[in-house]
Amino acid sequence: MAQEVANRALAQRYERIPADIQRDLDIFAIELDRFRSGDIAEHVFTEFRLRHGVYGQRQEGVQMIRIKIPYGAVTAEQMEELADCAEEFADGISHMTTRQDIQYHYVKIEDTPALMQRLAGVGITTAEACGNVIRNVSGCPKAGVCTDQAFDVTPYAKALTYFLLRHPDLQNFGRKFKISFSGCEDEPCGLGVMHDIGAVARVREVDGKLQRGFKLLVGGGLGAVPHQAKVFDEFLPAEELLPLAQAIGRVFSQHGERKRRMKARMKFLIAKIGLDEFRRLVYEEREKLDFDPRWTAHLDHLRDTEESPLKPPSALNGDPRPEGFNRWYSSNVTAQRDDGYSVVQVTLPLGDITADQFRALARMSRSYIKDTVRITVPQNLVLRWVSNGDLIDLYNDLVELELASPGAEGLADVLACPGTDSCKLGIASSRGLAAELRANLGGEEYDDVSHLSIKISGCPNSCAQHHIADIGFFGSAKRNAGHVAPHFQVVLGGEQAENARSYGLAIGKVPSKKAPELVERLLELYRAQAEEKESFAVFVRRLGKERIKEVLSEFDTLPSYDEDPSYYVDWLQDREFSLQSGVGECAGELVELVEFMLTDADRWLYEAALRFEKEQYRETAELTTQAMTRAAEALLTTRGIQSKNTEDTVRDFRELFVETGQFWNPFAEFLDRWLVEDMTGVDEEAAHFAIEEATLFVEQAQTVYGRMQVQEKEAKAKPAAKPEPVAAPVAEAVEEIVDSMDLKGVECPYNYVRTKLRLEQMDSGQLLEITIDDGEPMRNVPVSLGNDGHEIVDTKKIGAHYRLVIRKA
Amino acid sequence: MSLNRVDVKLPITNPEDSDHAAYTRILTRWLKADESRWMDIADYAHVPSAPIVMIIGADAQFSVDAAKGELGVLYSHRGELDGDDVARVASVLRTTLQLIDDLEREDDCPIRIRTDRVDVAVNDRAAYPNDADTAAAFVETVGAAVTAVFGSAAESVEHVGDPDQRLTVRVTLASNVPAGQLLADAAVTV
Repeated sequence: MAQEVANRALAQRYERIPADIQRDLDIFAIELDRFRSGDIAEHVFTEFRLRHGVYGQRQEGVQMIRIKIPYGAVTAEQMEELADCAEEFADGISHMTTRQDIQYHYVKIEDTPALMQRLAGVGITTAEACGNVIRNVSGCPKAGVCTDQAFDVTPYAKALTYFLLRHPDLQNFGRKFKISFSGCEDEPCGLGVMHDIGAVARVREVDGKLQRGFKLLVGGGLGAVPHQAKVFDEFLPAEELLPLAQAIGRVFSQHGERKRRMKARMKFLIAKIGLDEFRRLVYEEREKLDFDPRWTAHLDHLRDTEESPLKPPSALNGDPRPEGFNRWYSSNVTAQRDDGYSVVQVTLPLGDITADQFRALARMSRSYIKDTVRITVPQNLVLRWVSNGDLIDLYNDLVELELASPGAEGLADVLACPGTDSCKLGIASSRGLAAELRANLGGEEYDDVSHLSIKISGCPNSCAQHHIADIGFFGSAKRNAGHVAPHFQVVLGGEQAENARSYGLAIGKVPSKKAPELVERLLELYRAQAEEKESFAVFVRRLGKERIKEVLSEFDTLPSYDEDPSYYVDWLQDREFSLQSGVGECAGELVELVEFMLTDADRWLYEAALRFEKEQYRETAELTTQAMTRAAEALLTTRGIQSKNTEDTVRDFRELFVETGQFWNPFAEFLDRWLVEDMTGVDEEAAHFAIEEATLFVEQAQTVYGRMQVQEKEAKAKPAAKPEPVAAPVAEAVEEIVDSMDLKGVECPYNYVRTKLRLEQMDSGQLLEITIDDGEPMRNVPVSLGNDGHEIVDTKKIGAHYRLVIRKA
Repeated sequence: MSLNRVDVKLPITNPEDSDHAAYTRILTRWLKADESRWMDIADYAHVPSAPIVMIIGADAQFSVDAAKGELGVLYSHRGELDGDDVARVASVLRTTLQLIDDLEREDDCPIRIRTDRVDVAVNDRAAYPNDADTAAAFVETVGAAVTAVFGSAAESVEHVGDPDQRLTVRVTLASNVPAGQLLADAAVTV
């Protein structure tokens, strides 16, 4: 069903697309058509498109497309197609993300099927790039050539990626799930500590033989509430990696939070039940798994992903070195484990590259290193296997492309998320501030502090990993006499080393326009007062929060709008700043699996009708039978049953829905009959019946599910039974306030938002005490909390403030 | 195959006067003035050889563009077009001239745009591959569209660029007439 094209080269590529992938692309196109004609509910389509990497932007009517690049490895052919597609479908820019994905912006939704088809032609997928699924598996970009690695993690990362992609056990998460691979413990490349699963390569000796395995970390994550991962296993044998990841996913699926999005990441599950209980559940689940040959199939092909050099090893020759080469060489080139070769990092400004540059890099990779380059977490590209004698020519080529900036991963190589440029959650312009800092900090006068890192997120969700920067920022805002000024919260002293060893501390916030001055001041302080070889994190800890706050206080004053209106205009803008933060899509819509499955059934009915029009009667009947089976499976998921085969589905469906009277038996018999029908003999009349009967079956399934939802809603709305009267109360029960927040001086709506976030982390019925200012806060906050269903159980005026006690709904 | 995605780029007479802040100011005014047509401004000044500032609509983008080492204005159309291919290219050329005229009429616009050289690219490799047959047909299409819009035949229309680039033709015209004048002349002709 691939689109017809005049371009013969593209047509040949489409022929290479495996049937199951093509089927997935066709389904996307069909669902998009059905959505546009109003046949699918918006919330179901939203999660569906997210799971295909199609993400809403803050600008209405256009999409961001996230393209998964497992462990960041991209071939020359893929680079060329990525460049072409950026030009044809987006704004010409490919943006590298901090998860080694590539993102396009401003794509029209109707162009997405054609775009996905083009990418599939070169083996690239957007499947499961967004939504509540397993996101791109990231990995060390130097894997295979690194001097410090225990072993090359590439084949394991690849095997896990494709084993987990679309795995039926892992489609029902309450939240997204992130996995990373590191080749060693010391370097920051894999950042395992901030992942749901971080796999760090280890080797041990057993009976004189070296055995490969992984130190397995679980439950890490950044976001507004960062957690460091815990050690699940000090040494997990490599052959156990895939089944254990499957078991972990199943535990998360079954026990993870599903109603409260703010607490739905796996880190909260582990914090709630404890690592020991989590481990017990995982091993219990592992025992239940049926053997899957894919668990270990890759172990026989570990060398398939190995890269080899294009050219023989050589030394950096004595040719005169071009201007700028030495500085670039010292920051962007590292020796690889194989003598005579280097790893070259190409610095991309804010992770962006034009189509022309991307194509040129593809050509360069073919002429210098054979083929594959890797995207790095700090949003650059890495060429491996560069023969040292080619370094000067390569540098000259990069100069021509204007991609020879030195300072990779250093001070001026500022990392930023899209922020208010395109993200619905963005509060302040992270890329605007990053561009300003990048322009200011790239000179040689900063070489002594070029090892420091700056990371900027547009909101607290930490997409730019501000928690692990030496100097981190996340977007905020401050209202002043009817105007709003963009601000940044400052987070200092995070550490990337040892796979993101420690997270920084929030110190306070500054107006966005003063952030560059603050950075200069912090650098000045570090230069003047750091002890020899003292890291910035250690320096910050030694100085102490109070001293750092003193420094910050030099910059935290916001001039009034009349004094200086430029503080109320964000970077790279020419209009007054306003808060436009909407509902983010990074978490996706929480759509129950049953809704997806009923949508599948609907789609198959639709396809059956198309086949009928083409007089393909056997296929019509097959699709209608498939639709009925899917609808039955959908209902079974509401009882926690995942069907393994049609026989079990029919048996369980009869027992739980037909025999109990919930599903009308005459309709259920349609499925029984069609499952034993000889499809080869289906004629026009029979196919017509098949469509009618399957339609009745699927509609009945939807009615049953709708009824279940109504019953659930009614049960929730029912008031709890009143307790029996007690003859003589012994003492009045004293409820304990579990948490308190001082929100004096915090303006609306931030006082409300912070209260809301804290309440989301509490259990229903628990009490929270907050102190807020009189005036606007006192007028707004209680009303907003009441609207959310919480109860204000006590209000006391204390001077110019109010203390409220809130019972969580 | 229908022609809907067409890019048109014209060079700038005085690139030395290019002013990033002025583009941001002007395009922000445009955005505020017509939010049904335009949805956002994207700033890529940090990326070398890229669009400097771009105004983005659902069906088109317009930018001051520094790609391929030459500063110019780029109009990139991606919405549905009507008529045959000549009419479609002519429509995109007219819109480009209108935007150039709008830009040049802004008091703080620091640049002037040349109209004696126009690059027209089909932004659709699947339907319009960059091969000899498709290029020959496209050269004719663009030649006819230029005559219709510019009021005179081009001095030359030639297939240019590397094979790995989009199908692009370069039109050379005899004179450098301001876009506003071209539009006015065309209106008189009509």
